[in-house]
Amino acid sequence: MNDNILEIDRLIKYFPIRSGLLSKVVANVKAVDNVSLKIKKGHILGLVGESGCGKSTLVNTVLNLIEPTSGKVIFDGKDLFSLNSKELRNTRKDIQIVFQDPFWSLNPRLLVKDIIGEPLDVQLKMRGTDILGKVEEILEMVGLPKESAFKYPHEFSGGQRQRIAIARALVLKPKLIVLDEPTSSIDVLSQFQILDLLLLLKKQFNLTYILISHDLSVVSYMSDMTAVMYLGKLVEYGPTKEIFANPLHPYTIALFNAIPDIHMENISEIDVIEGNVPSAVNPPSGCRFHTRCPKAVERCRLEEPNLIDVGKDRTAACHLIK
Amino acid sequence: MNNLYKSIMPKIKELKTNIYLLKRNRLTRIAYYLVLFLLLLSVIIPIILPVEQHVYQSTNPSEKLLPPSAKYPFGTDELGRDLFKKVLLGTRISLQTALSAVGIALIIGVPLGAMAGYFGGFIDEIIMRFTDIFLGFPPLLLAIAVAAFLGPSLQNAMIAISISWWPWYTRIVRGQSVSLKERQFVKAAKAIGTPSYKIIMKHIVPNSIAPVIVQASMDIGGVILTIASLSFLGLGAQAPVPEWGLMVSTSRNYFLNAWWYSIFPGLAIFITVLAFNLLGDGLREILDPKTRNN
Amino acid sequence: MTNPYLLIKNLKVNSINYEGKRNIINIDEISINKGDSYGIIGESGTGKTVLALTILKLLEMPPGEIESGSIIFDGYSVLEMSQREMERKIRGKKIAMIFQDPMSTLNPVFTIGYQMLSVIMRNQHLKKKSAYEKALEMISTVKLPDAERIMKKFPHELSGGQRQRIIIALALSCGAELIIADEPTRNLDVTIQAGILKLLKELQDKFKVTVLYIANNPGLISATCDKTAVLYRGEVVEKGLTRSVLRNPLHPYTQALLKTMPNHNAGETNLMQVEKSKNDIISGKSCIYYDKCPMKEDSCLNSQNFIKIDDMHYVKCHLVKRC
Repeated sequence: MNDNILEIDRLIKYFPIRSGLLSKVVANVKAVDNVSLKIKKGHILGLVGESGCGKSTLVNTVLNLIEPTSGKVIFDGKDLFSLNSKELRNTRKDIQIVFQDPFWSLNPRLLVKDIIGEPLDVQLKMRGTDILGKVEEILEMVGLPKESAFKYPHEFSGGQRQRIAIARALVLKPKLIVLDEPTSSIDVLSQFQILDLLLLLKKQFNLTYILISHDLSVVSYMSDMTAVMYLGKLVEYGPTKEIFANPLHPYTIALFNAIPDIHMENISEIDVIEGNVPSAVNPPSGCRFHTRCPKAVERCRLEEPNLIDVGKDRTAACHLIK
Repeated sequence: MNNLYKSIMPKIKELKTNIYLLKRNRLTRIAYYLVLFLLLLSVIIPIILPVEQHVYQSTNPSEKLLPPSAKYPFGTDELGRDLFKKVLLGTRISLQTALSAVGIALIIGVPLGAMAGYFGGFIDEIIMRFTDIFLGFPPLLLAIAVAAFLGPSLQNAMIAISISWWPWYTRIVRGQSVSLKERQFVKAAKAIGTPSYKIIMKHIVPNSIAPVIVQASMDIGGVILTIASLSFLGLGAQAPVPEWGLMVSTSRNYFLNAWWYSIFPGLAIFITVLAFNLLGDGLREILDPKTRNN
Repeated sequence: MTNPYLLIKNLKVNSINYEGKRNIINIDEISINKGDSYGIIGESGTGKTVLALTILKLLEMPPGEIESGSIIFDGYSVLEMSQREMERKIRGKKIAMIFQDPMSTLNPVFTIGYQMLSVIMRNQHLKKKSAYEKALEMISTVKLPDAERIMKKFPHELSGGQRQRIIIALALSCGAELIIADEPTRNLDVTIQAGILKLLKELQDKFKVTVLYIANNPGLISATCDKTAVLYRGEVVEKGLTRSVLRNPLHPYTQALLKTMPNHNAGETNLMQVEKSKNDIISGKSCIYYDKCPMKEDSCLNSQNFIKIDDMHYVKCHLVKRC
């Protein structure tokens, strides 16, 4: 029955802001506020939202790089935050990450073989020539020549570096890979090669992805399920096809309308929602989007909407949805 | 074997690129060749002019304090020894002591700084407060105090200098390390489960070393000067070791009638320090990540 | 036929390093009329930013080197002017640049107000009081509420979108007639990006400025520009009216660029194709896109000229004639 590889259950992460002589907590940055998500094995979950919406914090907890304030993350049947250090080390090999910027995610002073070989050395205690063989094998899988092993990252283009980053994530045969904006800082033409490569590898290795992106076309191309976040809250969640065909939450709609595309006659077709993303220290009362929402009514300011089931596996958090 | 070769080649290429960049600036190019020349001298001279024979056993009171001439290009000292040979022999002593002093300071300072920056919190507090104590003293004063405590000898002067110098490197590396640990490649390494000491050795230290190298190459000049100062004060090399600072110190007594005795060792100090400082400046230019790409 | 406002002709820019020379820009002609919004589309590393810097004569030389060509802006021959003349007459006066990172333009240690005032006072020779009013007016022109409070803030206290608006206000307040926007929304969120784009368009109509957009996203150019040039490895491969270039792309490179959605059934062989190293130097005269072009044939090894499709659409690929 349980075919969810990852379950995030009412996850909350506050970063306290301390001040004064006694370092009293004066406020909290509510980075992730009561988010629950489930990912099925073999699925791709697209996570959409603008900067400051809590995507990165969410992912860092899944990677076990930070501890949540409360809530649980259950990976493959194990609660990530009640593992002892040995179990934790074993789990680490099953969850990997590919970062946004391949210029900062690869150590510039290491050869490619050492970058990709590091996980093998650390986790499997492999040595020298064994590592090299494995590295060359994985390099070819991601579409790079074997000789790349003996080069430095700066000798490659953005797309090629991202392939190296993917190779590093893949080399331990993980079960879940977090893709943090995997294509946003590389060239348009390379972007889709990378995405297709990711899809191919997913099939080959039976992987599950969490895909973070602000590029909606990437999300719609890749993911099975989509989650939209705003200021630490989940505002809409459901199958990608349904959400893209018929977005319900005003924020999702605004996001979709903000993207310029080549079929627009002119700029006035872009809908703009006014204002800036409010601070997560003192998020607006009620619905957090009400300060920018074009449809907000009095109730939105006073009462916080809950995620409600709107059918077809979808949920959304808005008072105005019937 | 073949793999070893292949992993070394890119590093050599990198080095070649850096040397090329270094030589692009005329002043730095001169400094670069000067430093190479000094290093060469310090290796070759002791082989062709053994110290024992030319300094310890070559006293010749009948030829004391002769002015520069064809036979003695730099003149002679108060015991009739050839100053030219003494100054040449001094190269080895100054460079060796300075390099070892800076080397020791790096070995102590760099790992401490990397640890302080990487772990943060309590460890950071302890290490950095400790360096603050050392940085509270003027470096020369601290070196004098330590050298006086250990007893006057060249080796002790070297130790004294490393003790007063390492906190500077700790500071530099800590600063780098604090920003490096937020970098994605460090996070990626953590996500893999790489133990902390490996992250520090493979990711933090190699990437924070550039400014340290710059600082160290400029410091070598300063350290040579400090060694000379300690020797001048009688806390470093002891006669008859042909150390430049010591030579200048001894020459004080004869300064009025033997100018060459002070001038030539002094010039040697001056040129060496200048060469290392210029080289350091040039290194800073090429190792600065902003000007580096391309 | 009036003279174009900005005319770039036969511009060749090289970058020199110890491995030798590498051509980074090779542009036959780009001409922009007054009041136009002109877009340059290209991926990173195609020389877009170098082009912008060359127009302002801010390119560092070496490693840059201008081999030949001319840039005529509003009657001035930019490449022949001295740095001092550029400073006195062009930079910040007639041409302003908006960078992708607004922090690189704003000085972090001064307040927004101080920076705006000094620019306005210097460029428009106004007294402090009238300059202050002018600054307030400009801040509200770029639709930032509470202008007085913003004047007292430091750059880091503003959000990315607000900073970019301040930069735009600065550019307009010194009376710039040409604004070069180098990926102005690269680091911004989509909802913020939309606001900035709209603002730029409105201001362009209001102040009659000419805007040169540089971007890697065809969608962005399409929404904002009347005319477009597509840049590939420093060469313009297709140019013309935005609508005809982007709706009816003829150069194989433009077509590839616009295929925004990859084909689900695309062959896996194609995907696994080994990417060329970025340092490959194109040999001789062949078509710049020869290495990667899916339609290449031997005749592509000859040099390519622009082929006129109609008055407003030119393509640098000799294969279009056949279609």
